[in-house]
Amino acid sequence: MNPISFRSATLTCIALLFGAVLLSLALGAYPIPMAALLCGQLTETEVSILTGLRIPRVLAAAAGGATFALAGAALQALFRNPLADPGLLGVPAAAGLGAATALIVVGAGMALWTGALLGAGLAMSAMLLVARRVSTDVATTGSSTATLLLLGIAINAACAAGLAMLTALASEGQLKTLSFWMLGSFASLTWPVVIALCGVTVIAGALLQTMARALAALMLGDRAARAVGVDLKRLRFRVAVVTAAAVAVVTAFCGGVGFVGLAAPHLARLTVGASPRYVLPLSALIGALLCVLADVVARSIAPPIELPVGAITAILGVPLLITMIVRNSAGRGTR
Amino acid sequence: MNTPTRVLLSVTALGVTVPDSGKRRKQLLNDISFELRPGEIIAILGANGAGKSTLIAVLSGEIASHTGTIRFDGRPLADWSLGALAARRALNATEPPVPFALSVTDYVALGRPFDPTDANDVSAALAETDTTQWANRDVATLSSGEQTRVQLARSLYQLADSSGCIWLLDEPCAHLDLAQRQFVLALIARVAKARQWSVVFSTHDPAEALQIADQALLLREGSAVAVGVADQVINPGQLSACYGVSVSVGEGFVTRT
Repeated sequence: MNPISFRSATLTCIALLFGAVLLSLALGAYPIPMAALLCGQLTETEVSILTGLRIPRVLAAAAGGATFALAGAALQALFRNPLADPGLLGVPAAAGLGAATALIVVGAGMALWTGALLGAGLAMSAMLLVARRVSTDVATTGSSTATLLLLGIAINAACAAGLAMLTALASEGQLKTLSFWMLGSFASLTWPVVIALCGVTVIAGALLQTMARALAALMLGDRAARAVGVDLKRLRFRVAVVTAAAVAVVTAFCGGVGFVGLAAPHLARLTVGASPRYVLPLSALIGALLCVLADVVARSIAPPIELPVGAITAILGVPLLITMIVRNSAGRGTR
Repeated sequence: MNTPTRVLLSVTALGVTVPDSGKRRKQLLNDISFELRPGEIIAILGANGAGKSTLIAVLSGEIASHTGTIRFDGRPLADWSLGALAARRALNATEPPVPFALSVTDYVALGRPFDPTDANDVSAALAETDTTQWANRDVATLSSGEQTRVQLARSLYQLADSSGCIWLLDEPCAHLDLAQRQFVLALIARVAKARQWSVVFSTHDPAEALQIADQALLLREGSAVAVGVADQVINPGQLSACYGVSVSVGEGFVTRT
């Protein structure tokens, strides 16, 4: 175990993210020369493309990726399970069901977003109602996280069933809109939405950071964590509220961008070790980087067709993750 | 405050019930009383299911609903905040595996998760448990006996040099070989006397109690068969009543006859 220092890992990620953002601003159906971008010597058309399309898009990608990664990192620590991801609590699935309902009943655009937010909000409230009642007595302490998990599975199953029924009612066009949204896209978001997404990411990151030390103690197990002073019930509730709310907002506007929430925290842990104080911020940076890159790839492979971002994040993330895991286990040896 | 009569932990008429089938409730603990002064060690003995772990869980605050009273340093246990208790009460019980790769040093430092790590205190805790040689190892790669010692180091770091602490240990010597068991028992006894901590530990082996305990509490089906000075209550008659088998006590060992 030889974790790279948090500072050098962070600086590397920031540099890479900066490069990815530049790339994202330069590439597209109307390429903007990198030199012009760096010197600021831009034509009027280029400026309007940047402010109207590419800057909001790259910001949304970064915010979305960071939020999914933060949620994944926090939930993995909470559930003491490296396989946890933001979809675990059923929030993205509920957003999907809400979006589909709105799309079929009202139409695309604002209605779809509202539907997604409502669906996610409902799922979240249901989950929190149960989470609040989960006791911390020793008789149930082992099962309380399992209760949350089961509830997430139930919500996921119910939403999948609802969605399956709705797709039977949907028209060809509606199906296409829906499937595109569900696979994730950072395109055509307005500035107010983008600013909201960035705000949600920053607030969620700051709130989760205040819980990082308590989350670290959870590695000891519920009983020992409590003995060293962690209020488990409160921690569980807070982490669930923050991650579910942030994931709800991002999913509503950007769709279900998969895999980032699972892969980014893994990559962060393999780099700096298990402490959530470092894993949370580094996951956010890695998640942002992955999504910005995925977005660039999604719209540059076969322009003007845009491929679904969720598919690209998986294609980019899987080999990266496998490489890191293989290298790490080879280096560890003793395990 | 520091008079010899100061009681650190007092348990009076403690009872715990849980819902059973229908409207009946199952009695897990019934009318348990004892007092511990600083530096004193009490051993909880009893067969499987006698209520040893339940008693530890009540004292650690994990089972909050009980009858009777528990006072820690004169105040009811329920009046203490989690944070204040974490500074003066440590718990070692069966723990799930650590889910992520974590060095022994970082693991021990989680004993005080909300404070910046005190490297000197961590080193002292590792030295005291003879675990310094594993400082940079991943906790998960240690054997279960080695992990037990690292967990004890975590509790030593948690409470550091504070006095007036209670240390709860649920079967600290389970899964330990003979040498490790002697090491752990000696460690518990040494720490209790040197820092004037009160220790409550449960065990299946009356010999462990005879070796380090000042008091013993013999449980059978949640009730106290006997409680008092360890050397006096751990005798063939009481042990036979406690375990339901005929038992003889030799010099430092206990056998079934």
